[in-house]
Amino acid sequence: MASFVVLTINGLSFGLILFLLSAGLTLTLGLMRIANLAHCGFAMLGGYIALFAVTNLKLGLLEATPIALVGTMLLALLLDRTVYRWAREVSQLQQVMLTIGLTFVMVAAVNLIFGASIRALPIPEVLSGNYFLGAFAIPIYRLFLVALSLLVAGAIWFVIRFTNYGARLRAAIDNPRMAQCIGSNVDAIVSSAFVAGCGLAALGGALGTSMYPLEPTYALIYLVPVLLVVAVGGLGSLEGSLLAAILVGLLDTYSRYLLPAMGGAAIYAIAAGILLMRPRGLLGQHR
Amino acid sequence: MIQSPALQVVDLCKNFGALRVTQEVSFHLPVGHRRALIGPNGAGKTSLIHQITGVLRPSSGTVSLEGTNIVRHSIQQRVRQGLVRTFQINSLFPDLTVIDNVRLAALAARGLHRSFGLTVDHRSLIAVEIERLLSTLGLVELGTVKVSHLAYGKRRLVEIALALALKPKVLLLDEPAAGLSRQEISVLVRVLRALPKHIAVLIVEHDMELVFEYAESISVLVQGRLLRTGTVDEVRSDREVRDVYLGRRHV
Amino acid sequence: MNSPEPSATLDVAASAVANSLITRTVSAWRVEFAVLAAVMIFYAFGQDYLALASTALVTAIFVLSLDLIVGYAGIETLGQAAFFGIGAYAAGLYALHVGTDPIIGLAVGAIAGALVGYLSGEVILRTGGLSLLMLTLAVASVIQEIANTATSITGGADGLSGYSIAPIFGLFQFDLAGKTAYFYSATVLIVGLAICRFIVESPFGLSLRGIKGNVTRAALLGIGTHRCLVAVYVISAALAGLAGALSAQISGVVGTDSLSFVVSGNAMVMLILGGVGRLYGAVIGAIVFVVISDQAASVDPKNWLLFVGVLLILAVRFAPTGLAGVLTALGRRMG
Ligand SMILES: Nc1ncnc2c1ncn2[C@@H]1O[C@H](COP(=O)(O)OP(=O)(O)OP(=O)(O)O)[C@@H](O)[C@H]1O
Ligand SMILES: [Mg+2]
Repeated sequence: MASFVVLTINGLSFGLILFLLSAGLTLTLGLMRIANLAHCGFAMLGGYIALFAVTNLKLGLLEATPIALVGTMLLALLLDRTVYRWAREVSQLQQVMLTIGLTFVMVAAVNLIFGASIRALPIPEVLSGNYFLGAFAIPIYRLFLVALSLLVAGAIWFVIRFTNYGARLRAAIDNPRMAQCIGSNVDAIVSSAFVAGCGLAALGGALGTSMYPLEPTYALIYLVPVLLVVAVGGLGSLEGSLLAAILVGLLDTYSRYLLPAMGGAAIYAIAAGILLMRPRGLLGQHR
Repeated sequence: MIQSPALQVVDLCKNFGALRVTQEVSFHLPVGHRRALIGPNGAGKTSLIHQITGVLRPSSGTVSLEGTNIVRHSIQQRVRQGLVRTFQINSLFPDLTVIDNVRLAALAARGLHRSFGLTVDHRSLIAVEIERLLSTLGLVELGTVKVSHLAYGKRRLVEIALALALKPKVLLLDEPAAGLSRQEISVLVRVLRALPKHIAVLIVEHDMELVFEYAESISVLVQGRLLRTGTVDEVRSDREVRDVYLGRRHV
Repeated sequence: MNSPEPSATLDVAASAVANSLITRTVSAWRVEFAVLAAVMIFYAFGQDYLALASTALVTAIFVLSLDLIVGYAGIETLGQAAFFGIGAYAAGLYALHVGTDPIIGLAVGAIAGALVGYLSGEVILRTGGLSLLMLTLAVASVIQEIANTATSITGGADGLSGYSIAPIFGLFQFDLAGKTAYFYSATVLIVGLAICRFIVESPFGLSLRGIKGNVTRAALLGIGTHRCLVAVYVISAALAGLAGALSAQISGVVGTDSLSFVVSGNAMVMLILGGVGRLYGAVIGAIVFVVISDQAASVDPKNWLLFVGVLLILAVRFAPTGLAGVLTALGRRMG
């Protein structure tokens, strides 16, 4: 029983970080319809900016994370004005190529600056240590991540459900052209959602290094589970992504524990099954 | 033995939520008959065609082709059985040339669309067929032009060519003249007149001149219901029809 | 028409027929001839680079398989490496445990690719757009994950190696300089190119282009669109499997990275770089990409990825029709 609790906390923390990594992608897919394969690159950049702040500025992880967030969002803003502007004008196939190209540039840049070794950021003093559940130890940092991610998810949900901005965002996802007609400045909404999404990814990238360690190919390695979460959740649906990310985190952790021979294959098989039954994902718009 | 009608529709109903687009529509189309279906905008004409061809599934009712109920047949099966339509909104293969558009239909009609090569016989048969269709529709010079580069009126003619290449027994035309110039309309009328005698035609059209000139009979659809079916003269002189429809255009 | 002397007419007619037969053959097979010429010329001057050239040729076959589905049927995929890797493993395992004949090995790779292509295509091709893109990725990830886990069969992270391949047709021994491997891959590429061209120019190929342009309308012509898509997916998977088998035979190793997303992604990049939907674009893209990345990797191994990335972004921005499109446009401008 206690081991089940530990597994669940682990799975939840994996899943919730995955949610942070994918939330921005589902928004941009829903809004811009851009197959943005570079999205995980922003998480990676966030992680490495935090790494820089920790090693070179001698900051703690909790002070470094806001810097990573802001730094990544500035970069995202810059790219939104350039590469992503171009991406809106070309076919899906060329978007794939453009964003793969961007990913390569990010991977190479990180490799050049930080080297190829695998890095994790140190857990801050206050959050280190374990919480004991009988004989089983639960790292306090994991509990912190679960709580923080849930808080962030709640904040996003609040913004989207209850603010004016959120209403316009939802309108833009439902029907971009219609939203344009009723006078919303869709362009500004799209750009801001993109930048905010990259910020969320950076948050996940910086805080999640104990589970998703930093390495130059980070942007490519974690793209697969992130895309999976977005597809299973339904493009454009944040609730769907949250649900899918938690499902993926939990099922992956359980299946690796119960069926070690299957390795990570079980989760892909389950995801493929879900997509076959619901091609638009769990909570995607069925039209 | 009495020949079964080419197309028979019995008690067809379709609801979109609260909107009843088709309400107990029944009619039949004898072999080789030319009927026009008219009605105000939003009467449910296109929806009716969608249901007959299998694009939309009716809520209830039957559709029979030459006496066989085809309500459960797929779109493809219906096409192969000779139930062919054109679209109100252009629906072609934009990146293919006019010839390739028609060729694809001609191949599909013969079940050759999955073959990896053609016999010399088939090849010349299809070449002749394409040639014939393009020349009747006045599209010969445009044969190697991509459809996406064609003017709107010409695309509508290609749409007709595609339908004819499918060797229809029953042809459903959804506003074929919309957007055509006078001259293109006269080509269209000529082509429709020259159709083989056995083809039954149901033509949805707002151009009354064309309807009166071409159709043998007229059905009037209003708010999803068939209001009247009769000869051209009967319908023209019908008070009720004039009120709901013709009155507005032909005072 | 006026008729000159009978005998003269016959002569003229005969030579005209012969001429037109030759020109027609040459022009119909011009892509294959061009590749053949390039292969010969390269052999004369580039003896030291035969291994690299073989890699480029094998890659070209793989990208060709991708063009068949992406360029002609509109199936966009990020999981084509699944079939390449399956073909490579099948051929490697065949050589290791069953027999060493290379041609049978190729067939085994192609069949394995086709089988997986059928099983996955039958299901995932019911979807489209971004969902399909993700599903292709999911299928490839499942397969890679299985290969990583089933170490007793696949050798896990170490991969398969230590198998030998018999001479081709019992005549051509694989040599250290890589001459046999070079001509072997070149032959397979030219045959593959001819087969692909045959397919895309056939009625079936026309149906595919129709489906790509307007699925709904294709269905309304009575075309079973799903069956056509599955059919071309299987053919493409077989060709990718063949490329994988070829790669396993000439390199002597198979690793799980042959199944990876990077392989699929790179293939897509090469295709778009070369030009989609032209077949020869796939060949050009593959060769240019392999050569550039090899050069960049040897000159400056740390920066080559940066270079490729920038190249991709610029290519989309300034040459959206790919190198083949640029060449065609240049050709048109020059006459
Ligand atoms: N998929 C749908 N869902 C809901 N309502 C629909 C749908 N398709 C059509 N309608 C509605 O059904 C009604 C009938 O539409 P339909 O297109 O059949 O009319 P029509 O007679 O062809 O009109 P027109 O002359 O303008 O072509 C319209 O009010 C239309 O808005
Ligand atoms: Mg209509």
